[in-house]
Amino acid sequence: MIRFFAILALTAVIAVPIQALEGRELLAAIDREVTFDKDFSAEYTVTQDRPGEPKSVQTMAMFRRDKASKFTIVILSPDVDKGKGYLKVENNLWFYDPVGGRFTVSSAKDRFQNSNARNSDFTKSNLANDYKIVGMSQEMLGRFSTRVFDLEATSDDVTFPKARIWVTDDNLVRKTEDRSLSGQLMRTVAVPQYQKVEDRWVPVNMVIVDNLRGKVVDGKMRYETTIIGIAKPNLTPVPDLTFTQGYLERVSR
Amino acid sequence: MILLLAWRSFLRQLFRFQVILVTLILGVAAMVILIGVSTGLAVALREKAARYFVGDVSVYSLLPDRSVTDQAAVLDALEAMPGFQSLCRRTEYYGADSTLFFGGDSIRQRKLVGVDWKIENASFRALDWISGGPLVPGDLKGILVSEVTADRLHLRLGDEVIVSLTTLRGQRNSLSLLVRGIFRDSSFFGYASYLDIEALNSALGYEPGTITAMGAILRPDARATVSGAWLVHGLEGKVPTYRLIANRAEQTQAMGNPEGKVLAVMTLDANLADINDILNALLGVSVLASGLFLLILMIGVGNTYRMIVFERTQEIGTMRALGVTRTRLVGILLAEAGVLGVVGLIVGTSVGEGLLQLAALVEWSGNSLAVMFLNNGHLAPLVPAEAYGVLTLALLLTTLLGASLPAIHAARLKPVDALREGE
Repeated sequence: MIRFFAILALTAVIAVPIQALEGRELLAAIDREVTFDKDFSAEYTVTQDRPGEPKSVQTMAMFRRDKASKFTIVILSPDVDKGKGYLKVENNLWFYDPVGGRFTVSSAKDRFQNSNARNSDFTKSNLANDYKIVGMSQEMLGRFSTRVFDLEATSDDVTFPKARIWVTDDNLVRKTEDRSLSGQLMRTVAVPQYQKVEDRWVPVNMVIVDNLRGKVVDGKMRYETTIIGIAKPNLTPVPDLTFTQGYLERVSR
Repeated sequence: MILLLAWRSFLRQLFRFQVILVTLILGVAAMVILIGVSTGLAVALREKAARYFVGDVSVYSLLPDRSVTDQAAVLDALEAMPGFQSLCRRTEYYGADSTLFFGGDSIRQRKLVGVDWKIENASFRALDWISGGPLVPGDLKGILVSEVTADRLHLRLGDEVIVSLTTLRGQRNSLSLLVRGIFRDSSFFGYASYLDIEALNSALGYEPGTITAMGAILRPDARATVSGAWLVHGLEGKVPTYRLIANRAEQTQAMGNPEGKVLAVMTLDANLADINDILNALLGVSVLASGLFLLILMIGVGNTYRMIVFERTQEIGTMRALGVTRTRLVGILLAEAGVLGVVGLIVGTSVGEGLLQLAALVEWSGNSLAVMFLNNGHLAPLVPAEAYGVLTLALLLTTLLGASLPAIHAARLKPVDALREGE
């Protein structure tokens, strides 16, 4: 009898880290599908839809170097925002405004250009390091058969401490529900379609719905929505200079 | 005897005093109104501010997590402080993301305040409630919002709002809370929402029982700066305490560079330094206006008495001929002036008080700026006893001084000349 309980306890002690390791592997596999070993660049279009207000559209050039945790964003239009930009180098993020020519420190958690996107939406996927899986189930998401993972942050640096993701068999995240520490749904991100760039994937567009901000229109609640469209993905090498403050200053002149 | 004579003479000569008496009554009434309104506004403002700023004297933590560590020592020092009346225990959150959400709308709050309702429930009952009332101890699901917030979010009692904040560790968190009360407050104090201290502690990731500020409401006769200085001295031996903070700029400086200190003491006057400047300017104008009025009054009384002496020259000659001494004559005339002053004071004060009471009945809360100085939407005029004392002295002195020169002039008249001049 004692031996039985001893084996049971030992199994439990060994099983927990193995499960954690498996969870980490699962998340690492998801990260791998959307992370590039090479430099990545593309043209992003951010469309902000606030119910009852005209839509606003911003286009920008994105340069990413995932292996060094860097990115540079240069806003191309509208004219009023032209030349503004973001530079991320490891854990440091700066926002550059050509009016005044100043860099201000920003955070990955901050809203991107007053939209419903966060600065962290533009960084490389880092689920394996930032989250652990605390729950798992299967669910049909429209036409997709998905595994649903309940995630809890392992780092305080992430934008949302809890999340639920819907992942298809090809390890692509199709939907994310970002939640606060208490579990309150803060926003929903849907990625209806991906485009293949060599052996990796990039969303064609991401639909971000703010579950807290919106307006009742014609008797129906309509939440604020941000759509990020990604076009012209490219894996040609980006010069090192692109990931410097000097570059942002120069392109805005 | 002189007073009786003066009173009878005053009644007989009332038609001669009419103009100056009416002026006196109106002037006294105006001064009573001025003092009553300005004091009432200041008292109402301080009461609201004391609720907003954790009492008349408050103790803040200078530690990075803003928690007050040695609560027992602070409590002992506060309770032993001169003028101590009641205690405030709070956890305050000033994060840039403290936002309330309801029905798709959102509004940023200047601060979220966790209150220990066991000890502060009574104080919050005095707020100007539009609906509901203060939370009861242990109500972890309730929140009190201002009218400004309720209007923006279209909130009603019982609605469930989402409160967004960031934990001590930097994690995004939220609370779902039910609106238990909507209070009216000016925009200065109105962008704060109040909830249970333990609900806020839990959401921010503090241990239960944590506070970030503790303060005391003082008795009306106590002086916050004196009590504050005493508190700093009382705490210094037990907990490293920063010097008494003089204004908000110094508070910011202390928080940025605490110089190894753990606690800071701040008075309501320091918190209200900017507003106090406005109130002091208002008070300065009041004092100047009162001084000008008294000067005009003195000249008016002097002119009136010159006329009275001129018109009563024969009477004065008769009095002198009957043996009334010069000193006694001056005494009679000054006593008359004293009676004039007292009557003006009594009637003027009654008129002023009556008008103040009428003003107190009017609902002024339509003006958002005025709300800051009102009590439940109404003016709460207050004329302190000392003010009445000063007013009485100043008025009597003014009338006596005004009447003194003509009285001395009258006393110098020879009886024969006076009788001849009077014919």
